[in-house]
Amino acid sequence: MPNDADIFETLRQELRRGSLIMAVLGQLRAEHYGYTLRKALADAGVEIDEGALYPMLRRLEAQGLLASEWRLEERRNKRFYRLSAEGEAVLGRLVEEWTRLNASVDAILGKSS
Amino acid sequence: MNDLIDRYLAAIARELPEGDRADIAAELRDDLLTKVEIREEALGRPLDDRELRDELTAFGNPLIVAGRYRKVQHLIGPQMFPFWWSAVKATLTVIVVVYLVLIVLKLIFGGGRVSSLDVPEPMLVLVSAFGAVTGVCALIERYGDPAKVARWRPERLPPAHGKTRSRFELMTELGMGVVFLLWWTGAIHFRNVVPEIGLRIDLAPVWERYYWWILGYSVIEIGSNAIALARPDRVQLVRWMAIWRSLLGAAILLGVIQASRFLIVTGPAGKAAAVFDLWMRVGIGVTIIVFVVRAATEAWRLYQDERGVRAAA
Repeated sequence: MPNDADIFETLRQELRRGSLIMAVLGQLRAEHYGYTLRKALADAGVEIDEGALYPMLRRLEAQGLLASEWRLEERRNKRFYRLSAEGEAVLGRLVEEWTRLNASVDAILGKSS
Repeated sequence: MNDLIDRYLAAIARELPEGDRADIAAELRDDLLTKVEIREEALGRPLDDRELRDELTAFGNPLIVAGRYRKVQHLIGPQMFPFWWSAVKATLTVIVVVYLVLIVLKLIFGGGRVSSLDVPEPMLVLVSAFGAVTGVCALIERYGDPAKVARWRPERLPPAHGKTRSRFELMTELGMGVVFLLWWTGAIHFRNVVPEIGLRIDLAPVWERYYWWILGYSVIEIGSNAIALARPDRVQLVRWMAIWRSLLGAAILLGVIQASRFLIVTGPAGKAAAVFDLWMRVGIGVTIIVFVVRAATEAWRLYQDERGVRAAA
């Protein structure tokens, strides 16, 4: 039977899943390659492991929200990602939705506390 | 050092879609090497073998790392799962009921020919049915539209009140119907010879005369139970089918009961043939009454349903 810590961890993962995409899109308003993107996210308080990050970047690129290119940097070829115009528009809508949802949840929590 | 990284990346690459393989592997290589370099810079020395192994272990199992790039992440998704579960339960229950009926009949009538030659092994059938249901659901999940499967209409819900047969009851009847049909068409056989007491029992020619009628009755029975299971909202249709089926059954048996003999009993026990026929005649008579009562009951329920609908209107 799952204990309180397991239950919390599962719920935390569910809560994070959607917001991670927004964090990645937001961070990619400036160009990054995988490692620096992960570091920038971690510095901002959003930890994400590479096993989840790279497939997510590919998916977002396939959806047209990101653009990427291979470039030589620090003696090695690296793949740089940045937000596309379409990604910018989708991010704007996601942020609106996020703000609205946040306000609603804040209001509910405020009422119940 | 690079040998271990190469082996690790090759293990991932083998599991990746061919078109993206080189691209993904190159990106992962860069990430891994960057991590190693940063770690080495912090330590002020190259990583030893154990430290490198730890890095790769932390990066993840090659199957899992590669798996995350796959478009299909599950065989049956959460939208399809309730339908898969329901279909698996119903299919396996019907199969189990069919085999239970066969086992009971085998116990009653002895070893006979209910063997692997006549019906497949139960485990084989169960596993095949499970695989078939899972395969169909996986195909819908992959190529179909699970949302379409989930569409439903409130008017198709079964009535909340009133006498309806349980799913178990329906599945049991369905299973028994299938066994009867298999036996009647000769697909399976039961032992009709008891050599220890020199007894052999065969059906009298009268049954042959009604072969197609009985076959039709059996098909209607299976059909009406299948409809009742799949579309519990079609209460009226199922009631009408039960009425006509019962009347058909009664009509068939009224024809059969006119015959002088129902069973041909041979061997030394042949003297008891008259007793067998008497019991058969009593059994057929009782069954005719049961059929008529059933038809009347269903007709009465139909009438009650109609009255209820009119009263509600």
